[in-house]
Amino acid sequence: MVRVPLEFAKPTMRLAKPICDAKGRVLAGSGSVLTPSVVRLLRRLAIQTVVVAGGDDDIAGWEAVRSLADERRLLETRMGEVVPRSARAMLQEALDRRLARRDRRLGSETDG
Amino acid sequence: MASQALAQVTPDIRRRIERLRTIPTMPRLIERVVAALDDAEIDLGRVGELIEVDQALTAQILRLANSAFYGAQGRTTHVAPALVLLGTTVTRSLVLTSSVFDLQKVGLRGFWEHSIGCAVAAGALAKVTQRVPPEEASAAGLLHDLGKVIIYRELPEDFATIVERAHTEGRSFRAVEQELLGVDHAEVATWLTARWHFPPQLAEPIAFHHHPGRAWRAADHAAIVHLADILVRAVGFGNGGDALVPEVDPAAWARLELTADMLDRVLDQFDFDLDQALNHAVLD
Repeated sequence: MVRVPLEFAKPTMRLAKPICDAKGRVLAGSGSVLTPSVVRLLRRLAIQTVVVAGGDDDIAGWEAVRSLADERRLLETRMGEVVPRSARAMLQEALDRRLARRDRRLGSETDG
Repeated sequence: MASQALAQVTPDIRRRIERLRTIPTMPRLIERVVAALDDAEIDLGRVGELIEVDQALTAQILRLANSAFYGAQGRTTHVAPALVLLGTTVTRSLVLTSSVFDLQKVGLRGFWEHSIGCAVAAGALAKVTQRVPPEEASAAGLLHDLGKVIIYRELPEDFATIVERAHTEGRSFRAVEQELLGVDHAEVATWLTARWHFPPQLAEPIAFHHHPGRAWRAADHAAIVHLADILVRAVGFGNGGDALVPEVDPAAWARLELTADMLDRVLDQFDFDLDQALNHAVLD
């Protein structure tokens, strides 16, 4: 089970948790396939992330929403050794700022 | 160099590599469409008529023109207006590659994502730096790993071995393919782009995305695709065949004159355009 941004939803994914409206009515039940029509409905409701079934084998690494600290650790691992004030360092700093902006946008919804 | 390495590989591998040099040949229809696109007095109506003979190609052109990425949003129903929207460079690359590969079809999701990501990143870099037309940069980014697709199609067992070894040994895909085949995907793609007469704006970034300093006719395109390849790997989107983020070529970096503010704008543009491109892929 993993939370993914709605923009990365695919018709091969199934909801692992139901999505309800403000009155508690189920809009899409657990197990619902994220077909284009379901995704369009969720988009109209301004849903930003959904919890889908499957683990790391089913979901590409970049799709899962992780905490900012985890994202930063992964970025550092990918970049490896970085010489200060180099082009690579400038790129890494820009990517770090991007992660912070993305985190603010998605609101760190990592609690499931 | 790769040609020296080729002399040292086994006769069996050499035979297989030589086979790569000779295929694939260009289908007759594609040849006619490309010739019409290259005509100095280009007639897009005529090009459209030629393309409409092929249903799959027509669908591909209309699909892209109507995507959120290009903005026609379902308003373009005929090929000729779609060609105006896409421009001849993008159309040419679509036409040329349509008969060679469809990464989604061959089931290499990570590689397809890497190509889409590189296209979006190259387009974002072009928009912010304003050094080349964004659609040209995107097309070159989309095709930059064409050589890997050719190796996958023609030498599938070797391709699988390269992927496996790059993963288990923590080495670059390129280093393993050079060791195993004596050539890398960039050189393989160079044979194809020469044979198919790709324009320099596409051929040079494809050939030199690992060594952008070797480009001489489309140096800005090569620098942008080089950095786009690195950027999309650093973001962690898709799979280029290994988990490594290559070093940035100092000359390419200096050429693009990117500031911290420009990099922020590139990454915001990348996120926005990638979202658009993926939404199209999902919702289409």
